Amino acid sequence: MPHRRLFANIFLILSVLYFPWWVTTAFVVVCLFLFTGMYEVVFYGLLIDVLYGAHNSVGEGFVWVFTLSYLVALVFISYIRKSILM
Amino acid sequence: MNYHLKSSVHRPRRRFRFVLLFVVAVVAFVFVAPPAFLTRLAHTGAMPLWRAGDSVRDLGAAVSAVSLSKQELLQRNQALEEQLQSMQLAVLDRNLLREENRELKEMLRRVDEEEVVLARVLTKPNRSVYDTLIIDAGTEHGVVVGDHVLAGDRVVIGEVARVFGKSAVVSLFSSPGQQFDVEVGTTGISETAEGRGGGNFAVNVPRDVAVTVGDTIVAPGISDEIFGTVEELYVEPASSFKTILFKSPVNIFELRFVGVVIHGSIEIIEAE
Repeated sequence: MPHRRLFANIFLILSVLYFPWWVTTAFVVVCLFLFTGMYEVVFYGLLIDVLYGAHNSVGEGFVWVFTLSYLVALVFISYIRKSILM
Repeated sequence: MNYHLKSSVHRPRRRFRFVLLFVVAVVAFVFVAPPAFLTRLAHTGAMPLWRAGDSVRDLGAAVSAVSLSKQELLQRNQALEEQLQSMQLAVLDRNLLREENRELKEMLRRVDEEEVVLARVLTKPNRSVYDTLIIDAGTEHGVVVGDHVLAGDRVVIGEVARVFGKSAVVSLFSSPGQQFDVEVGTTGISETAEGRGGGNFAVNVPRDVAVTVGDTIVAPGISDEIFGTVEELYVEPASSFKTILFKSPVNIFELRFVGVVIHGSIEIIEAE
């Protein structure tokens, strides 16, 4: 299990650097369902925002789209997981 | 053995604190841009990996070229030679006109002294929803925020939004909602165009303005920078305006190199 999580993290880093954002986001959602308390995803959201973000009109100048989205996904999916497992 | 029963009295308070913290973080985020040192650090770490990715891609392209049959290569070569010949003919009068234009500007003492710095495109716009490119030229090469970025010779695609020592983030003019002034063809009419994503733009002009498909949309002023060519025209029967849809002649997703015009000056109108 720890190995799987490590590989998932390596793939997520590569995904942030080389793949379109929707691939990364889809993989983040899958990881959140597969692993318990995967708080790292917020870091990957932060990484996307820090690397590519710019105060342009996209997102009305809001440059934390991914950090916030992944944080919300983390809370929401963790809640769903908990409800399913209980 | 006695066990303490878990008390649920403090749970709502803890939850409230968590929600409050979350709201404060969100509000703080809205007003704060990513700190420059963080982006610089992230770019420094990511640049060798992006360069390695480019090398792997180049290698893959070379391997796939080797695997092509001789016949296929000959056919492609012939097609490209024919294309090159027709392009050379088309460019002949263009070069002549450009030279004439430059001489006229020189006579009227309006020579543009601009320097273009070549930069490699490290990431494509599809890496995030921000529609930005990352290039490997920064303050060390004289790039500053607001410099505009060219693809090919004169096609303007965006402007530098953030700049660091050896890298910069380029915001594309075609990003949805991005607004900027353009001049429509040879009509001399200047209007505000809007980005539609993927190298597409739209601009509204009065219905009577004579514009046809294929007309060029340029930057206002005396520069010869091109935004794109008219692709489609829409006229609503009841409206006194018509919508021109124009497209950049370059495919942003295939760009490998761009030019940064040092201290360029296209005015961006802040989106409301």
